[in-house]
Amino acid sequence: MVRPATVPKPPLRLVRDGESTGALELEDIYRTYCRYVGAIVLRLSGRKAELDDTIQDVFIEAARGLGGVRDADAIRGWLATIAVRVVQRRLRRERLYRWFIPGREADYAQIADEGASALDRMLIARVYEILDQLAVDDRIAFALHHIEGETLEAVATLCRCSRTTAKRRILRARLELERRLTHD
Amino acid sequence: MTDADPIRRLRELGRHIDPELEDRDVERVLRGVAQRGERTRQRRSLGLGLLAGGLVTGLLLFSANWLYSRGTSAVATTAPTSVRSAAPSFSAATPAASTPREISTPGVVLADGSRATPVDSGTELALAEDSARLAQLSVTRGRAHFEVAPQKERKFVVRAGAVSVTVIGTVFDVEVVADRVGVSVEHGAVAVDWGSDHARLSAGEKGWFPPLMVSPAHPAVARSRAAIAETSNRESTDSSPSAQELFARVDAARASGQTAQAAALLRQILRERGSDARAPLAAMTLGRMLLTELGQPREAAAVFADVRARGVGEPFAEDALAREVEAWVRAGDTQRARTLAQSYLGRYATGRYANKVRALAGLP
Repeated sequence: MVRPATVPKPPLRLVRDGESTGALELEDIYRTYCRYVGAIVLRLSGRKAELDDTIQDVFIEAARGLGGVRDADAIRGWLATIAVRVVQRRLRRERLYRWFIPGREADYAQIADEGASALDRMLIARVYEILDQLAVDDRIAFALHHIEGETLEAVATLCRCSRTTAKRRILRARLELERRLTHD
Repeated sequence: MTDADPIRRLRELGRHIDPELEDRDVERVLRGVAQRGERTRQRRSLGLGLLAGGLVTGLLLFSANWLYSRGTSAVATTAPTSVRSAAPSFSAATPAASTPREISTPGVVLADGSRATPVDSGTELALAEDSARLAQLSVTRGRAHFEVAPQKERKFVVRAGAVSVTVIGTVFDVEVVADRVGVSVEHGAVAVDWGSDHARLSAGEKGWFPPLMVSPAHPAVARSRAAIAETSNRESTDSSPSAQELFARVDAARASGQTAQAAALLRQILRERGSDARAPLAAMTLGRMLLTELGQPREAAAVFADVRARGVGEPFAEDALAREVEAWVRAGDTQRARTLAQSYLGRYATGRYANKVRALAGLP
């Protein structure tokens, strides 16, 4: 007897005919950009334990907004914008939880890969601990500029604010980080 | 270290903050997205159903109250009609047909009792033929485990991309990762064919096919399905782009952040232009991309091992060995990393990577 053969793909609504890009297949977008989104999410949030959930949030939101994308080349930036928004939301929620539940701290000891030296790992962990204490907007702008390596213009676009505001947020976070690292 | 140094250093350290997702992790996330989307739809349907039910109940109560106050007996005939109309709107919105079926899907059991079982959750396994002379299955994604009942007169073939595995009575696994196919044999033996050449694997042996680097004597191997899919919109498989063109495409893909495509093109260079003077450089680039950008340390280690096996000169040999140590450390195989690190230190005691290799492998 032959039983059913195929393990089905995830039941996604996959295909949409874009006006200028041809068929955009959502599942392919996921596969192509999953690692990219994962890297942005991790650098912004620093939370490895929530990585899967956060990436899923990004792609679920992406699935809703796919209709707005007209250019396949814009997908990367579009996903980055969503990732920033999702991480922002999660960090705000986390701050609220921490306010009600003291001692709910993230563990940043394992955030860096094995290529980083022990000293670098300590620095990264300490930076993220301090970032946890800053305003979420400042933290995101700082991480985008100083860790992800985005330009001021890109930070402003991703954070949906003016270049001046982006610059001010980055500077505020930077000064606070320098102050606290000096204290250490 | 000055006060400003740590902040400046962060940008450099950013590359060490990488989730290093492997293909399996990506599939797991993808499945999670699908399942959460499904749950959201179900919750929305449930919410709508409850809302509709509430409205209908409210309407019924209001109607009953109104009719009762008028002294009529119409309540008994109104109620069932309304409830029936509400019920289908709930059940129809519950997508029973689209619920994932993989949990209850046991794989394939053939007429002779041979079994093919998906190992990973995203595995795509299909039965093409199950006749007295031939059993043919295909694996297009993921990993599957095969237990083949001994049959003297019947061929059992598993196709995965451009690779086919032929067997008579054995137990083996076939895994598809990107455009490469891994075969590992538990019992018996299999013949692996990838178009331009073939190999035989016996019990306990495993390998990835087509081999990443072919000797100049071998003709170019057939492209795998994934590579064809990635390049089909740019060129036909009959046209044979020069190594120069392929390198230019790799650069363009990398510049636009299409790392997976760049990796596929590098593999294509290694398969089709293995004798090119730049092939070792392409292999090293591919290995580094797999290791640091695509998060596939095992694949990367295999590439670096291929580079060394090819007998390349310095500085590639030293670089490849050091990188292979790093790849195995990242893959979590510290024993293998340590053995290779000792090999490195034996050959290059004062080499460029000696300190790094020692640190990676935890050697004094």
